[in-house]
Parts: sequence; C-alpha cells; structure tokens
Amino acid sequence: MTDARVSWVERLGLIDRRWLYLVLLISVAVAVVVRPLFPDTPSTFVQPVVDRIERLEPGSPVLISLDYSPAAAPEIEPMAFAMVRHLLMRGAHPVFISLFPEGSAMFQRLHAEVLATDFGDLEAGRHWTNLGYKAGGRMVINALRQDLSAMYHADMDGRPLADLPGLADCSRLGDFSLIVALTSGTPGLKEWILYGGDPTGVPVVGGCTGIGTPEYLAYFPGQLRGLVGGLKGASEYEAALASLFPERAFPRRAGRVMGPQTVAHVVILIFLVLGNVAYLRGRRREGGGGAA
Amino acid sequence: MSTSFEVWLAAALTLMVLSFLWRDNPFYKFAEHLFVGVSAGYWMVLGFWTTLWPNAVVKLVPAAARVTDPAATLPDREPLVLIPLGLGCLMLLRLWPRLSWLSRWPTAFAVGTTLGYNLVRTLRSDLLSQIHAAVLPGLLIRAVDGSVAWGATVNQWILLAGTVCCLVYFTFTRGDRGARAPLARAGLMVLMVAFGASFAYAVMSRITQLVGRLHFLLGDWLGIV
Repeated sequence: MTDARVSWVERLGLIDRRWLYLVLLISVAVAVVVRPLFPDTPSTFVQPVVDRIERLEPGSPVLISLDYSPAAAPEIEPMAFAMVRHLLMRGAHPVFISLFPEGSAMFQRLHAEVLATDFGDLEAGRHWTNLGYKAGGRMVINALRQDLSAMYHADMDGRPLADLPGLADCSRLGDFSLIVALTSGTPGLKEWILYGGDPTGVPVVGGCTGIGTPEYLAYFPGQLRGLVGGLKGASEYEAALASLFPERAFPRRAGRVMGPQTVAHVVILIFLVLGNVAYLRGRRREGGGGAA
Repeated sequence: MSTSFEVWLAAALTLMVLSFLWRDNPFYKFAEHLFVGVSAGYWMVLGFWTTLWPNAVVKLVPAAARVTDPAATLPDREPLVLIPLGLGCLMLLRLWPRLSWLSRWPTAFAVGTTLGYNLVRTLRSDLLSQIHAAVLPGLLIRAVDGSVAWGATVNQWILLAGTVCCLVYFTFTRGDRGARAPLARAGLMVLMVAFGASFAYAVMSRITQLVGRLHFLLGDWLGIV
C-alpha cells in the first residue's frame, strides 16, 4: 500500500496518538471550565443504597469504613460526602473507622467539608464517632465481630468507648444496622462482605472506584445490598440526595465532574468509530485479509 | 493565580508527569523518581507510627504511649508481642544470604495461618454463596404486589446462561467439538463483553483522575475555574 493510494479515511488510522491525547486534553479542559451539569438518576445498583439509608431508624449505628487513599479521592470522596450527608440527615449515627493508614487523613477532609461545614451543630461522640485507623485488615474485621473494644479502647479524641452515648448499644459488629465500605483496594469492600456482612448478617453496601466496580458487582444483590460504582455512581447518589432534600442544596461535586467525564467519553467514542472505520476500509482494500 | 509555593510545586510536578504523554523525558523521570522516593519514605514513617509503635513498642513498654499522647492511659504490658516481633525480625534475615533460610519460618507461619483462617470463609462466601446467587428461582416475584418481575427474571436467566457458557469454555477435558462448540463460543463472547465492561470502567477511572488534575491546574493553580 503506497501513501498516494491512501484515502483520507484511512489517514485517520495513521494519526500520531499524541494528537488524540491533545484533542482529549483540550476537550476535557474546556468542559472543566464550562462546568456543564447533566441530569442523573440512580441506577439499579445505587438505588438500593439510597433506599436502605432511607429506611434506617434515627440513631441507628452505621459503620463507615474509609478504605481509600488520596489517589482514589477524586472518585470516592464525592460518594463518601453524599452518603454521610444522607445518613446524618436521616438521624443515623455514623461510626468511622479505616483499614487504610491514609484513612485518617481522608476523615480529616470529610470532617472539614461535611461534618464541620454542613452539620456543625452535631456533636462528636453523640451524633457521629471517629474511631480511626487500625492495622490488620481482615483480622480487624474479625476482631470487631467479637468485640468492638478488642480493637478500639477510645475514639480519636481519647474518649473511652463507654463514655460515648452514640455507641451505648453497640458492642460488636453485629450490633450495627448497616456497614458502608468505601473502597479503593485491599483490604476493603470484599473483606467487609466476606468477614463482616456474611457471618453477622449485617447488610453491607459499598462505594468503590470505577476499576473495582466489576469485581464487586458479582456480590450484588445477595451479599452486597447496593453499590455506588465510580464517579457515575457518586453522581447518581448526589442526584438522589438532591431530590430527597431539595431545601439543603448540597454541592454536587461528582455531578460537576461528570460533565467533563461525559465529554471525554464522547471524544473517545468518536475516536473509536473513526479508528475502526479506517481499519475496516484498509482491510477491505487489502482484500479482506487478516490483521492490518 | 495561586501564590502558594506548595501549589506551584504540585502543579510543576503534575505537568512533569503529564509530559510523558509526549514522550519519555528527564522531567518525567525526575517526577517519577521523586514520587517513588517520597512514597517509600511516607509509607515507612506511617507504618512505624501507626503499626509498629502502637502494636509492638507500646505493648512492650507501656510508658511509650505517652510519647505520642501525653494524656494517654497506660495499657497493660503484653510480653506475647515478642513472638510476632521475633517472627518479623526473622523475615528481615532475607537480607543476609547465610541466614536467609530462617525467613522461611515466618513466611510459612503467615501462609499457613492465612490459608487456614480464610479457607472456610472464602469457600462459603466466594463459592457457595455465588452458586446460590446464580441459581435463583426461575421466576422472580416482586415482594410489593406478588407480580412477576420480568426484567429481573430475564436478567437472571441471561446471567445463568452466561455463567454456564463460560464454564463450558474453561472445561478443557474435551475439545470444543459437537454441541459444546457453540456453548464455548457463547462463553467466549460473554467473557469479551465482561472484559470490555471492565476496561470501560478503567477508562472512566482514569478520566476521573485527569479531570481531578485539570481541576487542580485550572482551579487551585491558575484560578480560572
């Protein structure tokens, strides 16, 4: 095949990939500046999480495991913020722990942007509790199944567990009404399903990065009651929260990022179509042979 | 535009990493090596103060708890911690070739206990529960009004058929001949769809990272957003 015979369609398949990167970068950058907000509705995986939190009795203790690191924060934080807002609006008692060492730093960000900002009148230890990070992964979950005080003697402010009114009826994992695992790796959601939810019968819902979503969907809906997957799931959850509490106008962080995300998907799809058209045209001209 | 040195440093490092999209270059190499070095140092310090210190040092020398928290209640001494601490030290002997064989003992202990502890749990949750979830009743009934949930039922049958086809594809005892051939072919198609969905989720995650970085560059650094 000589260059003189190559049609403009086939030339598309010869474009240097760096031009594609540049087009994608410019498209996403423009969308970040314009900040489009597309409508969203909860999917069949996200809606059960919303429904389950809606059904919680006021004061129900809910274990939230912040098992993610700063690298996954752009995806996990929006869903963490939305779910904690939802829990507090329904009067549940979130109990934060972490199986990731960076979980403590992640809680600080959550505290600054949600607990202190939107719920500044709520009291630590009474309305929410932070128990912090413990090393050990699945062994921590196993210990919590037997006795909460086996791993935690006090909250992160040094108050003994016995002095925390929010944990008065909560001595082990089985006493929680719900387990929420926000995960970017191991240990995380899978460990909470295997070692937390399955043996105790406490329902487990989760949030995870987009990459992790296919792995955890295998547990839905029997062992995993709901899953907020990636930024799309977070955006759906924010949309559900906005319809449940229109008077609060909580920020839609994931929804804002889904605009650039959607633009990127459209650009990638266009590249995929053009690339395949160029490939098929080239193959047909070569006589329908094998790979080009 | 930001006046913070930290923001400028982070922006410069972000641009150095993104420069790899053009081609490998010294700026990218510098950022890569810096990231690996800082990460290793960060994890070492974090591991010491969040794992080794509270789980080993404080349990052997309770007064050490006051180093990080002057108001801390002193815990009871736990001499049994010397056993895992000793096993951990044996693990480090891998660095000395003449004594490296001793590191097999803690490795064997870790592998044995992990296997014994997880075997039953994994079989129950990852095998039996998954089989149970795959073979739900033929018709799924709505709890609200007792009607048949046709969408969920069809979905369930597709899932079951896909699972069976994938299992046929991975059964190598006999070749894919006769009636098995179309089932194995269908199983391969199901796998391709699953891999495609996984890859699409991976792309979404990476684009999210890109959007996050652009938010930082255009917002925190340049102040455009």
